[in-house]
Amino acid sequence: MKNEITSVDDVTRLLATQKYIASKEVSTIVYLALKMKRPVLVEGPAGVGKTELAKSIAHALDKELIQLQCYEGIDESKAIYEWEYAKQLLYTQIMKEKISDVLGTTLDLKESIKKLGDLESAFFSDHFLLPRPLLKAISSEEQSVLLIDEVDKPDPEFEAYLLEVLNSYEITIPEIGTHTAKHIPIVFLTSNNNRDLSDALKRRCLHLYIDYPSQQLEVDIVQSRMAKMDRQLINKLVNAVHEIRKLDIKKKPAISETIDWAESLVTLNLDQIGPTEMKQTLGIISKYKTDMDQIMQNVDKILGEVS
Amino acid sequence: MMSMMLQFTSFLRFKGLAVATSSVLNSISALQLVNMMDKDQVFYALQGCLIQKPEDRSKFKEFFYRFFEDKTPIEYETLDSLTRLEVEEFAKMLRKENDRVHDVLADYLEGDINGLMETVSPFETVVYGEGNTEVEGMNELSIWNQKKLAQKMAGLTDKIQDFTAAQYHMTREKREELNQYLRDHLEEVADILQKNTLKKPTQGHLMPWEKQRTISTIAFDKLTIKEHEKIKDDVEKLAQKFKDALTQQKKRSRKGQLDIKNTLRSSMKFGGIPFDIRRKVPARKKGKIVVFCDISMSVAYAAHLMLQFIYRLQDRFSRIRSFIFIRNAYEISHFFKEHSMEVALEKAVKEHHIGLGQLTNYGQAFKSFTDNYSSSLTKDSTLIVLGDGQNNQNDPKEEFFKDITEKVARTIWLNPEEERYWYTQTNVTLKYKPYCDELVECATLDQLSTFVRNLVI
Repeated sequence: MKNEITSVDDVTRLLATQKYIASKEVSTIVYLALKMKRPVLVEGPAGVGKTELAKSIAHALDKELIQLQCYEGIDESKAIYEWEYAKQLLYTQIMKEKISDVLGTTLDLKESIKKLGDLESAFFSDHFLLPRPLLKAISSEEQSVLLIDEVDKPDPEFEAYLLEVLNSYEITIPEIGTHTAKHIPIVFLTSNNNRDLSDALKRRCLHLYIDYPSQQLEVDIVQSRMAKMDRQLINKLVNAVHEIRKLDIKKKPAISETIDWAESLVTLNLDQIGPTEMKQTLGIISKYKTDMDQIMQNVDKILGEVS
Repeated sequence: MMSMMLQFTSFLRFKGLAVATSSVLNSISALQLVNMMDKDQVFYALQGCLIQKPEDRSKFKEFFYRFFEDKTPIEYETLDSLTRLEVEEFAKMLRKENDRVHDVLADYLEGDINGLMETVSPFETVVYGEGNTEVEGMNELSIWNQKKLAQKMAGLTDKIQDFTAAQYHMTREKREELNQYLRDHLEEVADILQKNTLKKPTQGHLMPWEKQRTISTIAFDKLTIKEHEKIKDDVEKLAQKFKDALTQQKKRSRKGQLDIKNTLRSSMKFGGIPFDIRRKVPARKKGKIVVFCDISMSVAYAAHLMLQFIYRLQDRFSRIRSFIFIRNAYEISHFFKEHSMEVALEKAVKEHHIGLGQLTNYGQAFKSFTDNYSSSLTKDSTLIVLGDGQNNQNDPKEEFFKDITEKVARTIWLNPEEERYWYTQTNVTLKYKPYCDELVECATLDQLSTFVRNLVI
C-alpha cells in the first residue's frame, strides 16, 4: 500500500507530500502515536504548525479530519452530542393524529402510559441524536483524524469529558448507552499553554513540543511552499526572522508569518530585502507598533548578518 | 531493556523529574517500535513519553546524555587535571580497603554514580519486609548501621585531611579545593547511604543532588542576569494567568437572568414551547488594575521582575494604570504603552527627575498618590502594591493608605521581603496590613506563581 507506515522516515516522507517539513522529533512522535494508538498533545508557541500537523496527517493518510475548536465555556452539547429537540417535536406533531390509532380507544390510562413508554425509546435513538465532533470521531465508520484544537482554552471541567474519550474511546449517552469506537481515531490535541492541563490528561498523551524551527528547517519549509523563490532571498529572509526573534518583542514572528512574508515579497515582485522593503512589508511579520519600532531600530543588525 | 528503562527512570526521579509509572510503560512500548540504532529516535521517543512539561525538556536532554553517554557528574569535569589526578589517587587508596562502601565512594569521587544509584534504587536489590525489617535480598550495604556509618565517615574525613595535607606539590588554594571536593562528595554519599539503605526511602525526601538550583525557587535578588532572561517567559505566562483569574466570572452562562427575547425567539423552532431557556450572560467583569510599585534601591532586585510582571499585564488589560514611587508617586502607564520596558523606565525616571538613590518613604508616596492620582481609583478596581515596606523611620501615614484602599474593590500587597523582616523596626508592612485584602510574601517565582494560582476574586 502506498501510504503504509513502517518507519519514522515514512512519516517524514508522508508529511513532505503535504508540504509539511517535519523535524525528526515530529516524525518520531507521530509515528509512535500511529503505532501505539495514543493521542498526541502538541504544545508550542502560536503559528509553528501544530494544527497544520493534524491537517497534513489527515490529508496524507486520506482520512476525514474532524476538528473540535475549543473555547472558553464550551460544553458537552457542543463537543459530544445534542438531542435534536426541533426534530423530535416535529415528529411528535406529525404523529399527533396517529396517536389514537396507536393507543386504540379501549385502553385505560395505565395501559396507555405503558404503551407510550414503549414508544419513548424511538424518540431517544440515534435518529434524533446530533453528533458533535467527539461522538462523530468515535462512531465514524472509518478511522478519522480528530483534532482537538486549543485544548487549554476550555474550563478544567471539560477535561473530564475528554478523559473518558481518550481513555477508552467510549462515550456514554445516558438515554441510549455507551458508544464504543469502531475505529480508534488518530487524535491530536493542541495547546498554547495558556493554562496548565491536568496531569491525568497529560499522562494519556504522547508529548510533542514544537518550537520555532532551526534556520535550516525554516529555509526548507519556506522553500517547499515557495518553490519559485530564489534560495538566497529565502536564506536572507529566514535569517532576518531569526534575528527578529532574538529581540525582546511582544509577539515573535512564527513560521506562518515567515511564509506570509515570503509570499508578500513574491506578490510585490521584490527580489531583495533592504530597509525600504522591510518597512513596506513590516505589518506582515509584526502586529504591534512597539514591536515594529523596535524592529526598525535594529534593522541594520537584522539585515546585516546575511551571508 | 526493561531493567535499563527502570534504571533510567529511577535516575530521572533522582534528579527531581516526576515520572509516572504509566509513562514508563509507554516508553517501553515506544522503544520497541523505534529504531534502537538511531539515537535521536530513542531520545525523542523517551522524551515524548516521559516528559510532560515543556520546561523539563532541557533537563531531560541533559539527563539523557548523562545517563546513556557520559555518566560523569559535571563538577568532576570542571576539575583541573592536577586535582583530578589526586582525586584518582585517593580513590585508588579507598579501593584498597576492599569493601563495597569504599568502592562506591571511590566511583562516586571519580564521577561514576552507577554504584551509588544501584545501591539506593528502589528497583534494585533493596527490599523491605513488614515493619521495615530487612529481608532476603537486602543490599549488603544495609549491614552498616548508622553508628558504624558515622564512625567510618569520621575516619574517612581524617584520611582526606591527611591526604590533602601531604600534597606538597600543590598550592594552598589547590589543596583546599581538593579537600573541599573530597569532603563534599564524602558527605553526599554518607547522607544518601544513611537515608536510603537504613530506612525505606520516603516520598518527598530530597537528595543532595536534588537540591539543585532551580530558578523558580531562587529569591529574585539571587538571580543572575542570565536567569533573569530565562524567567521572562514564565513571568509572561503568570501575567496571563493573573489576568484570567481577575477577569473570570464566578459562574458562567447558566447563572444569568432569564433572557425573554432570546428564549421566545428560540422557542419558535419548537412550535412556541420554550424548550431552550436562554439566560443573559452577565457582562464580563473588565478588571481594572492600579499598580503601585516601589523602585527604591532596597527593593531594586525584585523591582525589575515586578516591573516586568506589570509590563506584561499592561498588554493584557485595557484598563491598567501603573505608578512607581520612592518618595513620590509618578504615573508610567503611557511610557509602558509606547516603549519597551527598559526604555520606558529610563524615560520615566528622567522625565520625572526621580532620584534613584533616595530613601523610600511610603507615607509620603501614598500622600502624593492621594493628592495627584486619586481619580484613578474606582470601586471596580484592584490595587496591587509591590514593595518591601522599608520606610526608613519615616511616618507611615496609614490614613492615606486606608483612604486609598477604601476607594478600590480590593487591595493586594506583594512583598518581596521575607516575612520575618516585616517585624523589624524600619519595616511598616504590618502597619498597612489591616487595610489589605491580601498581603503575601513574594520573593521567588514560585511564590508569585502560587499567589496567582490561588487568586480568587
